[in-house]
Amino acid sequence: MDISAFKDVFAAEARDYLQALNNDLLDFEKDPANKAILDEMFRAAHSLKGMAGTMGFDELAEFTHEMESVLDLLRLNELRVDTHVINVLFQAVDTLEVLLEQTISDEPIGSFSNELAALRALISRRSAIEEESATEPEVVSVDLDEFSRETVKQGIEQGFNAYEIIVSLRPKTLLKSVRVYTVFQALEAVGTIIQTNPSIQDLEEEQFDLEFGIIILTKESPSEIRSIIEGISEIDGVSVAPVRLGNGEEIIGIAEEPEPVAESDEAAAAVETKTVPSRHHRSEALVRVETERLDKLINLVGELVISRTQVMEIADVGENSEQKNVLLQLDRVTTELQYAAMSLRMVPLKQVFDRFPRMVRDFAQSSGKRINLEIFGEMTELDRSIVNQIADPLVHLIRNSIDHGLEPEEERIAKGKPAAGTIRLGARHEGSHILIEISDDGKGLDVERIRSKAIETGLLADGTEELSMAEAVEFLFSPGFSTAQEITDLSGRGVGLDAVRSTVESLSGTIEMQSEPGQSLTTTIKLPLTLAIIKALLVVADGEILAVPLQAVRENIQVMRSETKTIQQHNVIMLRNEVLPLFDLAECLGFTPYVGSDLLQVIILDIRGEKVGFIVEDLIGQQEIVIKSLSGVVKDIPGITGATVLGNGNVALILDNSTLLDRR
Amino acid sequence: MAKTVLITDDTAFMRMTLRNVIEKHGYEVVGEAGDGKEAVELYKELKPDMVTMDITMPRMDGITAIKEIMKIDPNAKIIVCSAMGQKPMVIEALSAGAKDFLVKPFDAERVVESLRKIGA
Repeated sequence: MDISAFKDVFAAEARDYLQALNNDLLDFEKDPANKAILDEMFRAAHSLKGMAGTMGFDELAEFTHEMESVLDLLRLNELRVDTHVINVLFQAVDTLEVLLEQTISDEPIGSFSNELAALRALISRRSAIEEESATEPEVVSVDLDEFSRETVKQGIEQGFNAYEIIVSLRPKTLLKSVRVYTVFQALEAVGTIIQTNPSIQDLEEEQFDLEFGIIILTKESPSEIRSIIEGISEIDGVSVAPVRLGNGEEIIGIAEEPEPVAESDEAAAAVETKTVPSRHHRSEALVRVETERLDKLINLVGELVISRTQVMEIADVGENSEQKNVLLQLDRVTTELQYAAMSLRMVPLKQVFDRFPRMVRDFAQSSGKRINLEIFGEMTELDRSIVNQIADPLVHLIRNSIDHGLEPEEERIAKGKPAAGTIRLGARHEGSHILIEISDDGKGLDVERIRSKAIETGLLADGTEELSMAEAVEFLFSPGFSTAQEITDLSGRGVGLDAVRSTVESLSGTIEMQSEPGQSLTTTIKLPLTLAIIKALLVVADGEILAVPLQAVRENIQVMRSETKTIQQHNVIMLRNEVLPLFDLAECLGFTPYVGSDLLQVIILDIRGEKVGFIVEDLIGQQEIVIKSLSGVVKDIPGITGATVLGNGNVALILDNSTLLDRR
Repeated sequence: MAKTVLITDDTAFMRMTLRNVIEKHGYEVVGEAGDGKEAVELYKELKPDMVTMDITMPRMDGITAIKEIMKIDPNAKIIVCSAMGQKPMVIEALSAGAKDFLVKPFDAERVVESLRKIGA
C-alpha cells in the first residue's frame, strides 16, 4: 500500500495535534497540578509519534518520542515542573511544527540537535520522587475509558463476562510489578485484560500502593477467577465483580454456568484485534476535504448563480405562470445552494485566535511585562480566505500593543493601573460584516509625539500646532511612519501600520483606531463575511461596465456640469454644504474621460473615510456578483480588485475603492 | 507422602538456608544443584515435585535451565529465585514457564507460601 497517499490526512491531523499540544501547554503552565492536561498532552505526543512512525518520518517520530518521554516523566511525578521545563516543551512544539512542515513538503530537515538535547537533558534530570508524592491510598476502581467500554460491550455481545477485579498485594511485597505480571499471566490464560488501574505502565513502574484493578473479558465464572488469583503468592485479597457500563443502569449479566469454552480463542482474538489504540477522543463527526475541492465547488456554484441570472433574464415569462413558478423554484434553490456552499467556506476565527495566547506568552516573557490576554467571540465565522489573511495584521497589532502600548510594570503601578496589562481580542457580527477588535489598557496614542514625528518626516507642515486624534491616527497608517523609539524584536521592523491597513483593505475591509490617551487604544477591523459574492452597483465608464462594491457607495446624484467648481486646480462639487473632490471614473482607470451631456451622473464613494465623487457615463443598477480574482499580468492593477461575469455573459471589472486614487 | 523439592543455587550457603526452611515445613529436599546444567540432569533423574531455581549461575543460568526443564516436563513446577535488581530476568523466567518467584533475601513464610501454592 502506498502510504504517501495519506500524507495530507497525516499533515492535517498532525497539525491538529500540535495545536492541541500548544493549547494544553498553555493551560498546563497555568495549572501544573492538572494531571488531566498532562495525560492529554502525553496522548497527543504518543499518537503523533505513532503516526509519524507509520509514515516513516523517522526524525519526526524520534523527536516526538523524546517529548513524549519528558511528558511521561512529568506524568509520573519523576520530573518536577518549572519554567525551564515548560519552555523546553514549548520549544519542542515549535521544533515539531518546523519539522512537520519540512517533512511533509519534502524539504531538507534542518538541524534540531539543540532542541533534542534540551529534551534529553530533562529526561536525565528525572529525580526520584519522594514517597510523599506517591499515590495516596484510595479506593481503587477502574473507570472504563470510552474505548474499553466499547470493547467490553462487544465482548459481552459475543458471550463473554466482563469483571472488575480488585487485587490487593501483601504489604512489603518485593518486586510488586513482577507480582502483577504473574497475576496478568494467570488471567491472560483464561481471558483478555481490557484495562487496568493504574495503567499498565504505572503498574510496571510500581507507581501504585498495594491495590490495583483489572477489567477482564472471560468465559470463566467469578469464583473461578478468584481462585486463580488466590493461587498466586503474596495476594492479600481479591474481589471480582461484574462490570457496570454507563451510570450503573446497565448491569452485565453473569453466566452462572460457564459456557463451553469452544470458541473462546477465536472470540478472544476478535476482541483483541480491537485493542488497537483508539483515535484520540477529540475526533468529531467531521469530514476532511481538500480545500482545492471545496474551492472548485464554490466556483461551480458561482457559475450556477450566474447562469441562473442569465436564464431569468432571457426567459420573458410574462403571464405563463407555470414557467414562472419553475423559474422561481430554480431561483430559490440556487440561492439556498449558494448560501450552503458559502457556509462551507466559513471557518471560525478561533483558527487564528488560537495562536495568540502562545505568542503573547512568549512576548510577555521576553519583554518582562505581565500580560493578560482576553479572547472572546473566537467562534465567529468568516470566509476561509479572509481568516487566512487576517492573521498577519492581527499579529502586528497585538505586537504593537505589547511593545508600544503596555507600559512596564513599575510604570503601570506608578500610574495606578493594575500591574498586569490587559489585551482584549474579540470578534462579533454586525450585519453582513464582522468586527474584530483589539484593545489594550496601555498608554494609548501620544498625539504630541505623532505630531512632532510627522513634522520631522515631512508629512506635516512645519509649525503645525494642533493635531486631532483622527489626523494622528491617519498619520500612523501612512507609509513609512513609525514612532517606535527603538527597533525591538517584536515590532518596528519597518513594516508599519500602513501594511496592516492595505491588507485589510485588500479584503474589502476597513480599519479604525480610537484612543484614550494614557488609558487605552482600540483598533477595530471591519470585514465582509465573504469575498466570493458581493452586492455591487453596476455603472458604465467609457463604454465598459464596472461593478462597484455596494458597501463603498454612499449615494448617487445628478449634477449639472456647470455646478462643478475648481479649487486649487481640483474639481469639486458641493453636496449639502460639503465640498467633495470630484473625479472622472474612466480617467481614474486610464480610460477616456466622459465628455457627454451636461447632466452628469455622479456616484459618491467612501474612500478611506472620505466622501469622493466620481463621474460615470451611466448607472445600470444593483446586482449580486461572484468575484473572480485576477492573476498574472492583470493582477495588482490599482483601482481594480477582480472581475465578474454578468448575467448576459459579459465581463465586468470590479472596482477597488481603496486603491482607486492611488495611480494619480 | 511429602512433596519433593530440588534446590538450585550456586552458593552452598543459600542452598543450606533454603533446605533448612523447606524441610522444617514438611517438604522433602531430594537434591541440590550448583548450576543450571546440574539442575536439568538432576530433574531428569529425580523427577521432583518442585524446583527452586536461582538465576545467575555458572555454566548454565537459571532461565536456560527453566527452558530446558520445561522441554522435558511441560508441567514442571519451578520457583525462580532472584535478587531485587533482576526484574527483567524474573519476567523472562516467568514467561519461560516458572510458576512463582522469590526475592532474596528469603523470607521463610514466603518460601513456604510459594511451595504451598505451587504444589497445590
